[in-house]
Order: sequence, then C-alpha cells, then structure tokens
Amino acid sequence: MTEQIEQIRAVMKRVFGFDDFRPGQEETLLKTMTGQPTLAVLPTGAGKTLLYQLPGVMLDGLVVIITPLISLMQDQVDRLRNVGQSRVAALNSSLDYQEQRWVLSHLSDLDFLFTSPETLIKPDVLRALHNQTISLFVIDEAHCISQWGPDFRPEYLLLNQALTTLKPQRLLMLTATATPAVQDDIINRLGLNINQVSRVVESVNRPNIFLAVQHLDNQDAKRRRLLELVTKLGTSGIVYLSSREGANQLAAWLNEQTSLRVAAYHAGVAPIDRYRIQQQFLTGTLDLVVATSAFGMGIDKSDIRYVIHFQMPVSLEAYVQEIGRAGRDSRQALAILLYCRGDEQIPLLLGKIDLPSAEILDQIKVGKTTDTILGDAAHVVSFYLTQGMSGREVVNVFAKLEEKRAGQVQRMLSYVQEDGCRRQNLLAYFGQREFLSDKFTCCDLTNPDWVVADLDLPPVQKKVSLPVLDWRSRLESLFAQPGLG
Amino acid sequence: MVASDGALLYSKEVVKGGLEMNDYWLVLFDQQPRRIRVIENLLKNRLSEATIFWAMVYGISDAVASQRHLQRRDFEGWLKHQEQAGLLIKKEGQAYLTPAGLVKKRAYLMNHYRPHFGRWGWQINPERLANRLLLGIQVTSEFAHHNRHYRPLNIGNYEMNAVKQWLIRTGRGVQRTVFEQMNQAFYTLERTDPRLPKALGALLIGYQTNGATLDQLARQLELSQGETAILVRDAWLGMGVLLTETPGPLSTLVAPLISQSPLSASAQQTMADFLRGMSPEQISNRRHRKLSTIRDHLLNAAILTPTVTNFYRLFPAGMLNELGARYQGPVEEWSFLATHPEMDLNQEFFLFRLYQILRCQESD
Repeated sequence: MTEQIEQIRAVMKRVFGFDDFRPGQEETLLKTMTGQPTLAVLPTGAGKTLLYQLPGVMLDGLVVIITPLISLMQDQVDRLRNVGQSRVAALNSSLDYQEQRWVLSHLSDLDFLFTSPETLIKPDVLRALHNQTISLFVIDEAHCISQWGPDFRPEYLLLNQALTTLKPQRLLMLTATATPAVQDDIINRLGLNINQVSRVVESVNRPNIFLAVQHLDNQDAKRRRLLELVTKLGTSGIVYLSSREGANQLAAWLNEQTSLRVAAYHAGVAPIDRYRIQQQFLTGTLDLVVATSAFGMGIDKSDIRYVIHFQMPVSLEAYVQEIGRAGRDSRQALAILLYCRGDEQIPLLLGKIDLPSAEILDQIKVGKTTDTILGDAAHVVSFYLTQGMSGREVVNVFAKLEEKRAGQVQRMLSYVQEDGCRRQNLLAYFGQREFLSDKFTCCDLTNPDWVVADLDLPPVQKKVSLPVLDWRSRLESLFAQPGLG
Repeated sequence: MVASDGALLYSKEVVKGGLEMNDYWLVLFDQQPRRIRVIENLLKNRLSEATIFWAMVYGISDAVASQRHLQRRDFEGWLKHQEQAGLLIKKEGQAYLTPAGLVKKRAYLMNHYRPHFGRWGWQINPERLANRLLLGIQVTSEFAHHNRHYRPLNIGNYEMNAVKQWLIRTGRGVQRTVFEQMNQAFYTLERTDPRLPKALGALLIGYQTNGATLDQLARQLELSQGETAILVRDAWLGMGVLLTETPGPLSTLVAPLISQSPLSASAQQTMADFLRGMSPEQISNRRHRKLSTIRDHLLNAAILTPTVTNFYRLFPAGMLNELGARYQGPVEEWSFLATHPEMDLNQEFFLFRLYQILRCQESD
C-alpha cells in the first residue's frame, strides 16, 4: 500500500506538479486503484479531476469519463492538454459526423475519453468501446443520476446497462454534493450492491466562505445593491442568475455603470467566446462574469473572491456547488444571495412541466398523437413511455417530481429565512450536525454587523489587457517579431 | 440610468440605433415581391436550383450562407415584426417592402457596414476557416514564445490534428513566415476597410492573449453586435480570399477548406463531363444520377460559372428564336408555357429556365 502511494505521489508531482493530497484524494485514489467501486463526495475545490487524471496516466487502457455538460467536457479536455496530455478526446453531439468518426476510429490512441450518457448508449459507441480495455469508468457529477425535474437526463438511467456491457476494470463516481439518501440512490440506480461500494465523503463545509443573504424590497433595490457590492468588491467575482437574456442585460448594464470588465456567460454564448471568457477570467483580464449555472463546473480559478446570487437557485445542492467556486485558494471569500419576496417563484416556474392527461400520454405511446404537444418535456416523457410506463404511471412520476422539486425550493427558502446560523442550516441538509466555526467569519447571522471591508478579502491583481484594435502591435507581440515598418 | 418609474433600464444594444444581424435581412427585400423561402434558404445555405436562380434574379447571391443556423421560427417572427412595423407586406409566399421599408433599407445600405466579400460565401465556410486559422495562429504564437503550457482552442480532434500536422510540416521559422503573411494580408484588408484587420487582429488568440469576444469587439469598434458580426464574417471571407491568392504557410493550412468552384463537388463532375462534350442524358447514364439532377447541375453552373462554356449549345436549332419571340420584358415576370408536345415537359422547362438565366445575365 505504501509503495503504491509513493508511486502515486511521484506521478502526481511529475505530471501535475502537486506535492500533497487534498482531503479525500488519497483515500479515493487508493480504493479506486485497487478496484473497489468507489463513490467520492468531495466539496468543490477538493481536486476531483485529479482522481481520474492520475489513474489515466498510471494505468494501461482507456479512462472513460461520463460528464453531463459539453462545456464541462471541453474544459476537462483543455485542462488535460494544458498539462501535456494530448491523448484525450471528447465525444458528444456537438461534433460533426467527420469528427465523431475520427474519435471512434482512434480510441486505441487515447488515454482519456469524455462523453455524455446520451452519446455513450448509442450502439456504435458502445460497440467501439466494447473492443477497448477500459481501465477506469468515471461518472462525474454523479448526482445527475439522482436528479429530478425537467433537467433530468433519462439516459443516466441506462448507465447501469452500459456498465454491464463494457465491464470496466474500475468504477469511480464523483460528486460535490450528495445527501446520504442521494448517495444510496446513485448506487441503486447503477445496479450496484450498496454494501460493496466504498464511500469517501468529505464535509461540504467551506469555512473560508462567509455566507450572507440580503433581503431587498424590490428588484430595483436589488439591482442597486448589486451595483454597490460589485463596485466595492471589484475584480474576480461571479454573479449568478437564471436566464440567458437576464445575464446579457445585467452584464451590459454593469459594463456601463462600473469600471469593471464584465462578460455574460451562458449556454447561448458561442463556444469560441465561452473559451475566451473562461480564459480571460482565469488570467485576470476579465473582472466579473454574469452567468447562468452553465458557468462554473470545471472552472479552476483559485482566487475567485466572491459569488453573488442575483436570483435564488433551485436547490441547496446547486447553491453549494455555485458558491464553492469561490475561495479555492483557502483564503477568505464571500457568498451573498440577494433575495426579494417572491423570488422563489422563479425556480418553481422554470422547472414546471405541464403534462397532458394520462389518456393523451397513452395515445402518444401508441403513436396516435404526436409527442410535439409535450414541448420541452418531450424527450423525458417519451423516454418513460418507451421504457414501458403507462400514461397514468408517467403522470404519477411527474407529480412526485413536482413535489420533490417544490420541496427543494422550500428547503432553499428555509436557508434564506434562517435566523440562527446559515452554515448550520446548510450543513444540516447534507447530514452534518457538527462543525467548527468562527462567528466573525461564519455568516451574516452570527456576525450581524459585518461589512465587506471587515472580511479582509485578499486583493486580486487586475491584469491589463493588450490593446484590442492596434493590429500591428498585436501581431508583433503574438509572434515575438519586430514590426515590418 | 433610472427611468421615471424607478425601474432600471438596460441597454439591449451596445450602440443605440445600431444594426442587429437580422435587421440586415431587410436589405434582401425590395419593392417588387420576392419569394420568402428563397431568401430564407439562401441565408441557410440550402441551395436548390430554384433558390440559386431566384437569388440571381433578385441580385442577392452574395448573401449566401450568411446565417447557416437560422431557425424557421426566428425568420417568421422577424417577418411578422417587420409587417407590424409597416415595413414589409407578405402575400402568398412572397413579401415586398412598403415605402417606409424602402427608406429603411436605403438607410441601412448608407449608414452601416456593407460586405465586400459576400460572394466568396459560395466557396468558403468562414466559421470553419476562422477556427482553423485561430488555432494555427495560436500554436504558432505559443511556439514563438517557447511556451508549451497553454490551452489550445478546442475545435475538435479532426481539425486539431490537421493543424498539428501543418505545424510539423511547416517546421522551423514558422513564426516569421506566418507573421509576414498575416501582415501582408492585414495591410491589403486595411485598404478595403481599416476596420477589417482591426477586427481580425482583436480576435486572435495566442501568447498572453485570449482575444476579444464579439461583445467586447463591438464595444471597441462602437458598433452593435449585429453589425460587428457581419463585419467579422466579411473579414474572415476576405482573409480566405487573400490566402488563396498569396503563397505561404497559412495558405497551405486553409487550402483544403476553400473550394475551387462555387459549384458542389457533384455539379463540378457533371460540368467536367459536359465540357468533354457529353449530353445531359449521357452524363446521367454514366454517373447513375437522375436526369433532373444533371439538369439542375447545368443550370447552377450557368448561373454561378457562366463563362466556363457556351451553354447555348444545349438548345435545339431554332428554339432560341422561338423563345426570344415568346418571352420578353423582365425575366422574373415570365410564365412558362409548354408548346412542344414532342418534347419531354421537364426538358422543355429546363431549356426555358436556361434561357431565362442567359437572358438575365445578358441584361446585366
């Protein structure tokens, strides 16, 4: 065991430049490498990606990583390339036919393959992977398996069949947030024996993030408060909200109202501009990102000093994920949620599905009615119908989903309306009753007189961007060449 | 800024009164009715023979493929909006500008960026060209600074592999030759419009720069995002044109992405056979393609490559005189009339359409 740890440490230092493990990493790596199916629940910033990057370098065969978002996949591919790992590819629906064929015919040249559940279960993909030695199968953001609502991806339910087909040598499930019940659900849905899966669970507590909620009278007051906050807090922050158009408008407004360099980031932004925004933010030439939940998974910027929620997220899981992007350098950071009465209606409305009656669903099932009447829910509902459910059963499933979602929003609201300690409220949800905290740096309820200046947030150096429109100097600096005159 | 009711106003556009990308569509209409689907399909690069023909008649062929990802519902929504604003009238699948619409169209043409390289949209996909050039320039720039740790622009493994192979083949001194070729191309573009090299220069990715987003560039150029997108697309097309005309490493990099002809590969094969003297029927038999497909290829070639051959040889003796006597006035107003019962109706229509094309080009 000691010898194996020494080997792991040596590779970690040589390839990735790290000297020490973060909490939970060593235990997860050891269990995974010895072939035990492992579920690791490690908070954001705990270094989850290393848990498959490292085995990928050490083991023969292919590491397959299931990832929910295309942007996250691309980000992970980029990060591996950044550390000199070029035998890596992503396979997903954004690739054209030529690109997909290229990846499938070069699997034996790869060490890492990132894909989505939807792509994985395609027969030609499963066939191609079946011919490979899969040294490690990773399900990243594994809480998606247990997720409910319109964002639910039914193909996650078919991962158990894919595992049976592919027979990987090792299995690792990763998530940042999973209550004990969600952990059980993940294991069950993958068809695994609950007693044979090792669990590595670290606290979701991030003591260096000060938690605060501010109640505002109306949306106008909320925007004014946001303006005050970002003006005071300056560079290296994220503002989250739920709509793309809202993100565009807020970013444009903050660009006008402040001297900060602000960009909107959401799934509607062109991929190349998403790359630019991520890189500008990482390198400090962009001060603030106004984003939907599309921004953040995989953003490895250690000195994000603050996260402001302009709207209430759908659940405490989502909130913990999003605020967890702040303060990865373990230095003081701040998470503020701005709340107006009735804000909880937004996550409720966003996730609402208007299903037709059970009779109509039965007609859709037998092809007498088109599924276009289902709108955005067509994919999820059709999945259940094709899996053999009746219209009535589907209606019941969705009624339960609705109930569960309303419960999650209600639980989020209880955090907003908490009057004791926000950290305690949050950790209790994840099953943690005890924790150490300093009242001064814990939350706005334990330190009601807090002001931003007292938190001593470490200053972040603002970097100057190159002049944008002087093409001559840009070419000279890009190619390290003197001007041609 | 705070409105009188206390609600904060957001500026939706960077520049007030600026041009949204879709505002530009108004320029494609005129006071004479035009077929709505022709314009939609031209923008989306769905090019049937009829679309190519009517785009030529309307004089809007340069707008080809300028909105590849256009959704039907967005286009319909835009049409409805123009109708409600009193700029456009829709009638039986066609639409035409009102006097107010015509005034607006003229204002767009006068006050906003007008593409110079649109016709190259037939031969170059500017998105793909831009991606490959951006990555090629990025890897060259990082190489020039001896930096190995950076995130390459992720444009897909196939394309990345093409750039990698190019870099290996180009070898030592690549930074100097790429720099010189970029300089030369940008100087040339500058003579067309100084904003073109400014825009492309701002977008470049490389050592210690990630380039500007479209929004950031729009603010720098003091244009709306829509107008900036039109200018950027034109700049990439212009870059593609210049790279086809000058030798250098970047020309080698993008050569496989630039078609030598505006015709599809299949239509080019048909034309090669036709130039060897084969008849449409013979080509159809040899290539195992429907005769109607071969005829479409020939019509497209007559529109897009009119000078490669004399298309008049397709007409039977005496038919040109007969057509000239029957069809007069603006070609778009002609109605096909079958008068040759001995001839296959499809062939007669083919000859009628070819005659329309040739007459249209003569009047130009």
